[in-house]
Amino acid sequence: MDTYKTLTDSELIKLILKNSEVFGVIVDRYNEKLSKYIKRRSHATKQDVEDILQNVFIKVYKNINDYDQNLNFSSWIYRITYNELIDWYRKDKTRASLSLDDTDIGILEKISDDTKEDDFKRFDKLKEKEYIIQALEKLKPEYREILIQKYFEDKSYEEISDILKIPIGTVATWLNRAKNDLKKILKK
Amino acid sequence: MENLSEKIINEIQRKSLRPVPRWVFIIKRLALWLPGILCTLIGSIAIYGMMYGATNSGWEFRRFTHPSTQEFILENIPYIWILSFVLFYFFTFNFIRRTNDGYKYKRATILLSSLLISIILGELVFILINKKVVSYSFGFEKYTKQTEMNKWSSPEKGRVLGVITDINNEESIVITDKKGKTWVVNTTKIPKEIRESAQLGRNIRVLGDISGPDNFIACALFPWDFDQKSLEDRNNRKKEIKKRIPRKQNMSAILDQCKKFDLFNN
Repeated sequence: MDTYKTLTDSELIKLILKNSEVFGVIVDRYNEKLSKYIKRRSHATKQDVEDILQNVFIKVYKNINDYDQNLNFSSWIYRITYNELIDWYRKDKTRASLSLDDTDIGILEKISDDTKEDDFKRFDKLKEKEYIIQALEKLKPEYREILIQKYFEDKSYEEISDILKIPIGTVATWLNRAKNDLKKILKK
Repeated sequence: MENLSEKIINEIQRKSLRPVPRWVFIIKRLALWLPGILCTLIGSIAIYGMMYGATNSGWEFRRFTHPSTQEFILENIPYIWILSFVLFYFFTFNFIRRTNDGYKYKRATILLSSLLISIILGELVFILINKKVVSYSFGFEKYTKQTEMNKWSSPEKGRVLGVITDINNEESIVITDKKGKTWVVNTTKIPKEIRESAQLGRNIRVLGDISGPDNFIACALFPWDFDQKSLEDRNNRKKEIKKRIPRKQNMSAILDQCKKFDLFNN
């Protein structure tokens, strides 16, 4: 399987149709990224994360023929994960919530750098993880998702558009509104 | 987590999972486009309805049936078709947005392309179908005909529509209106050329005034276009009648002649 690791996603997909074992390379490639994304987006236990991931990868495998080559494969797999998470919230009857680790705390600095605004840096409590989580959780779900995709997952506007299936213009609008709303919440 | 890939591969092999064939997704994608296409087609029928109404609502007679062009336009705006067009437009937008790539298109792109397709299709249907047979008009013919009949079945407002049952002499014709009432119509004020075009058994529009219990004095006679099966024939007939009207006896002249009947103040 090591020989396949240097191949691109598109090249792997062609091979998966002939040999299902190649799919393991895709799983290894996205396992960590997606499990981090799921953990950030929920209070899922380790077992829950694994279950969600398993569902995601099985869906990816079964629907591999639905993958549009014009789309970034990463966006496609994130879209499936995003939808799987929504299903999981629904089944689990839990509200979408956030669970950040210490490496995520720099998000506000990231947003601040991006907007060239110092507003976010002024808050003393910014270093407090719970405070940031509370502020983010007060945002509208779609705005929260946009911020996560942009700043935690480092996705481009185009990728976010493909993951959430919204026009690029809407991504820009929502991102702007999300940042403004977050500022307002933090100022309170 | 380390063994997730092995776990998934084992699961795939244990359950003998196979990727869903490509043709299934192709059909799914097409199916997602269908409602949008269907709504665009219905939108084109609405456009067709508007065009049909605009052509057959008696624009050429507006000066005899309405006090002003503005009032004619207001009365004939196809509100229901505009509303249904907007409604189906909204559905089209939402259905197209739900397709796999729908989210990539700008709202304006979806709406403008759908509008354009509806207009082109509506116009095509209008030209192709109506050129030959008006009866394939999705019910618009029946509705428009009835509206026109009502408009021209108001003797008290100076308008009578009926079939010519007798031509007594050069001075009068007998018509039976849509309610079954017989009118002796005095045609002495009508130019000879027009009077001669009145034929037995033909429907005719008469403009004038009531001059007795069963008598009507005409200031103008017009053909009843709805007898013709196609718009092409209708237009040809109108042209024919126009040719027969001497130049000085154009619409304005007829209008002047009819003014003394005080058409709009009854």
